[in-house]
This record gives sequence, structure tokens and C-alpha cells, in this order.
Amino acid sequence: MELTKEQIEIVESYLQNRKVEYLDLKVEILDHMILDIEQLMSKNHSFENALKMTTIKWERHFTQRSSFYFGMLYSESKIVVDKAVKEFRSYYFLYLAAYLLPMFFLKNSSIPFQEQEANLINNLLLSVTFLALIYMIYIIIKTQLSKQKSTYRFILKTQYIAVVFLIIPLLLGGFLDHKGQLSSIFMSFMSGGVMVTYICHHFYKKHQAVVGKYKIS
Amino acid sequence: MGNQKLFKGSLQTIILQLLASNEKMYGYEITQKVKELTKGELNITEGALYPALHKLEADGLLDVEVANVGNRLRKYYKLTENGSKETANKVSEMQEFLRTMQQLVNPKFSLE
Repeated sequence: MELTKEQIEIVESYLQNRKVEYLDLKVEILDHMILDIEQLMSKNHSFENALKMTTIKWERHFTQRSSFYFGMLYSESKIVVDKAVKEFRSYYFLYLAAYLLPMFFLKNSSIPFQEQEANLINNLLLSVTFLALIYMIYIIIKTQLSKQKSTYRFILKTQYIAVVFLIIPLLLGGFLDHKGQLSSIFMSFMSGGVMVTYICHHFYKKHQAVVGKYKIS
Repeated sequence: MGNQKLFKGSLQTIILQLLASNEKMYGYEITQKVKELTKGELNITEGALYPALHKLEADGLLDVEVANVGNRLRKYYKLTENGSKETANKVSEMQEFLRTMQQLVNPKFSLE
């Protein structure tokens, strides 16, 4: 027995109330719930009864939770956060390495530069940081303007704060300390910031791919 | 069923093997196919199925295709090239594991 358009809208509004709005998850959960309900109705349950039984089964996947990987500020349905963690985990360690390795390396070794060389490297790093910042701002604006939500957009939202890593060295004018050597802290900021830009680029492309795939309706 | 825990560690292999023989499948279809093939012995819940599918997708072993089915969209999963290679590896690991278990549990009887 197939559900009517009105019955499907009731299931959709249940998912909307539970904040399951992410395209890549909503489509498969809605489809699965509809098939569950249709199967129960084929065993002589009323639609209301079948809907109740199905929502009880799914309810625990929609409880709000946050994750260590994204920070406590960002909470979503359990099923969304679990998927986001699976996608993001390896990139989190990549980001940590990009942030910590320059600090570790520059703290334990000193690379002497002539003034001219130091200025050249400083200007080069400032240019890279500036370009990364511009691209991050572009991604932020594009995803904020996008009406569609995906798990990848949720991941992107949790990474925007990293623009601070790019802004600080730019505001302070460069990567050199008072001795004219590369500052380990600012180099870590830049390295971490550029890595987050790369990570955001990766997830922005994935978000666009999801939006493209689900356009066929 | 009491042996659900034993199946849990094999869920990814089961999904990959099903997709290797069925080209593309959607979530609900996978649960029903497994139930049918095991005569109701194994019941994959949505709480186990979707995390496994999302992990395989994140690892690049599965690709997604979306199709219009009547009044709604349906998300199909299919194997990527890497997924096909990994299926062969995982199935062979599983067969090796089953042989070893058989020798441990019932040394007199062998699958070979």
C-alpha cells in the first residue's frame, strides 16, 4: 500500500520538526520511514499507528548531540553528527599536524636569514595568507547564500572560526619576530589557516556535488 | 536474534558483497535482502546500517546515485572501483576467518 501525498507530507513535517534538513540524509531517511510505514500498513495497521511505531524506532537517531571534533557549540541530530565525524576525522588530524609541526620545528631550530631574504619570505607568506583568507571568505559567503543544507555544509560551518588564524598575522604585519626570524606562533597560525582553507575547499566541493545530485526532483 | 553481535563486525563486508551482486541498492532494500537471504536470522537495524553505509561512502568505497521514484527521491548506493577491489579483499578475509573459526570450533570438520 503506497502512502498518499498528504501522508508523505506528514512524515516530512515530522523530520522537519526533528531538524533533519540535510539533503544527503533527509532523502534516505524519508524513503526508509515511508517504506517502514507502508510495510506496517500492509499488515493492517492504520497510517497513524504505523507512523507512531516508525517514529518511536527512529527517535533516538534524532536526539541532539555535539562532538569533540567540532566543539560543543555545534550540536545537531545524532545521525548528522555521526556522519559528519566519519567524513571529518582524518582531516582533523591533518589540521592538528599543520598547526603543531611548524611550532615544534621552529622552536627547536633556528634558520638564520639575511634582512632581504627575511623580507622576501615574509611578503611571500603574507601573499599566501591573504589569498587563503579571500578564498575562505568566498566559501563562507557562497555556502551561507546556498539554500540547501548538507552534512558537508554543517562541517564547513564548524570551520569558519579558523579565519582568525589567517587574519592575525595579516593584522600584525607579518611572520617575523623582533629578531627578524620566523615566528613559530605566526607560522603555526598560517600553516593551520591554510590547511583549514584546503579542508573547507574539499568540503565545499562535496557540498556542491550533493546539491547537484539532488536537483533532479 | 542472539547472534546479532557476531554479525556486527561483518556488516561492511555483507553490504559490499550485496552491492557487488546487485549493482545498486537503497538502504531499506539492503535490510530486506539480508533478512530474506538469512531467512530472518539477521535483522539489520537502521542504527547499524546507515553508519556503516556512511563510513563506506566516506572511505570512497561507495558512490551515491539519486533517482526519482514516483512521488519522492531515492538514494542508491553502488560500488566504486576501489569498492570492488576492497570487496574481493574483505570477502577473502571473511572466508579465511570462517575457516579458522571452523577449525577452532569443530577441528574434525573442515569447509575445504
